[in-house]
Amino acid sequence: MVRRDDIDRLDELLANHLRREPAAFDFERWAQRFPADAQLVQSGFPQAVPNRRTQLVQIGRCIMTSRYAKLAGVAAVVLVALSFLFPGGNGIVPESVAWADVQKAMEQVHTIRVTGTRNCFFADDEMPMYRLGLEKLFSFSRGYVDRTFTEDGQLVIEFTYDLPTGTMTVLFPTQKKYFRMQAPQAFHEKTRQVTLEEFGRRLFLSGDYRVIGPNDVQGIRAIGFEVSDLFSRLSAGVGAGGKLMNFFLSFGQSSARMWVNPETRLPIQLEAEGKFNPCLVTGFREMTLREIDDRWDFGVELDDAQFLPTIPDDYEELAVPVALKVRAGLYAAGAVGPVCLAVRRPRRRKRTVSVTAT
Amino acid sequence: MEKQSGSAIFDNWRMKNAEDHILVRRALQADPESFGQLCRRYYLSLVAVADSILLDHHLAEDAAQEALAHACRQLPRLRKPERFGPWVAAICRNVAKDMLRDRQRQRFPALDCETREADGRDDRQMEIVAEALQRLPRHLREVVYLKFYNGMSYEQIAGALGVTHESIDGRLRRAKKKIAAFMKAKGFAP
Repeated sequence: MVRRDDIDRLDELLANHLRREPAAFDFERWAQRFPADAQLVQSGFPQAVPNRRTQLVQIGRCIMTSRYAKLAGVAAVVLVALSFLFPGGNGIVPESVAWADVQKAMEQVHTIRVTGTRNCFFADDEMPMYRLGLEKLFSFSRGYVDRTFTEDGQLVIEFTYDLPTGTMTVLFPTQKKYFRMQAPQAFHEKTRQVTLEEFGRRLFLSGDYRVIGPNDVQGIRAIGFEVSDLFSRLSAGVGAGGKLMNFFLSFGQSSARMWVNPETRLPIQLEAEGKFNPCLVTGFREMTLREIDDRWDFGVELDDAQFLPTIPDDYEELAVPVALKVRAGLYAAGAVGPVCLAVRRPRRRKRTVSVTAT
Repeated sequence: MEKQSGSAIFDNWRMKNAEDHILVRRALQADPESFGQLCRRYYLSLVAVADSILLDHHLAEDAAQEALAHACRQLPRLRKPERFGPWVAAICRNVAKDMLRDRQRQRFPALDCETREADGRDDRQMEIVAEALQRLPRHLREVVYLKFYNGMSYEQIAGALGVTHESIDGRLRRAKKKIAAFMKAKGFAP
């Protein structure tokens, strides 16, 4: 409670603090300072004309003094800004996407099923020697499956990599043969740590990449991300290579282009093209492989058993020289898994060519 | 403060409004003297209103003059000439806010404090009073300034703000309470 004498003292303090000498209004000086306005007073006022600037100022002031008007104003400004930033018929759906957006969207995905086509050409052929269909299944927790089909839908090769055990299996149903090996511990650990984020980092952030588009892809104005040295980027972290490996399978120029839906920030199509230098697998001829993964289903239910398939009794184990087996195993363990989810994988190419050629 | 009966206040208020109405009408008919009279009538309250926002007396005078210039331009659009006082005070408030915004944009230091120091009145207690005034809500500070700036009467303040005598009284009491509480918190009894 403030006492009366306190109030009196406060009045005195305030008066001392605020009191000013009375400032008389000098009309002459005011008229000199605002001659146009003084002229109005002297000569009379014309018909009132709305002052546009004043109106704008008043609107601005109204926005700045009312909380609701302020919020509405901010929302309006944001919408206008968005419409400027993302012009076109997509509403507020952006027409431009950064790879980081794709990474973020992909982090929410745990399983993916991808289907597409894979064609092989030899240097001197106009038509592809092999037209193949493919199916890839990917689970962050279980591993990777890659199935290659002939044009009439017959399964010719199935590659699986079981992430928890590090077991790699290749089945050749037409030949009734199989190949199974355990990935070396170091590589197994490495592949266990590979995530889609790591894949993206390795593919797009380990060097330059080009953003292309937007282009019409499957009826969507998609944004593309293109890299031109695909294989070297992916193999850099794996440690594959060497003379022996190159004798067996030698990679040339390769590129990949991933198209992303700007609305979902998820891939809708992957196009990859790679050249093989003359090597044992290609019959010492140049070979080109083109792959288009044009259907991506995210968050699908996958049967865990298919990552470590049971070998049928009538299948015969494929004999591979020990040295090659070790090298191939090392390579495959690093190259498959998440890294190979969306890109053409050299090991599968090798198998596809070698098996279909036999 | 001289106490007036309610009816006397009301009569004065009505008379003042009627005068304002006549002066505005005359000013609109190219009578500079009438407009000058209106300006003189409200100039002090306008300076006080502007100073309560700008906390700078010289800028407040500029703002008041600028407000009168705005009022002159907009005079034909004034729908209720008898409300000239509150109307020009509202213009002045907006002009002062714009000037304050400009000043903040240009990052001028608080000129008011410097002025006070130059006057030699700025002891610690005055600093606390100044700080307490700055912390007051704008509508309360405005009434305090109007009351103590040039010793305006409640009637003059009511004419300038277009509010009732009771409203001014209530605002002043609330303002003083807040100032007293602030000073007490800072270890100064008012």
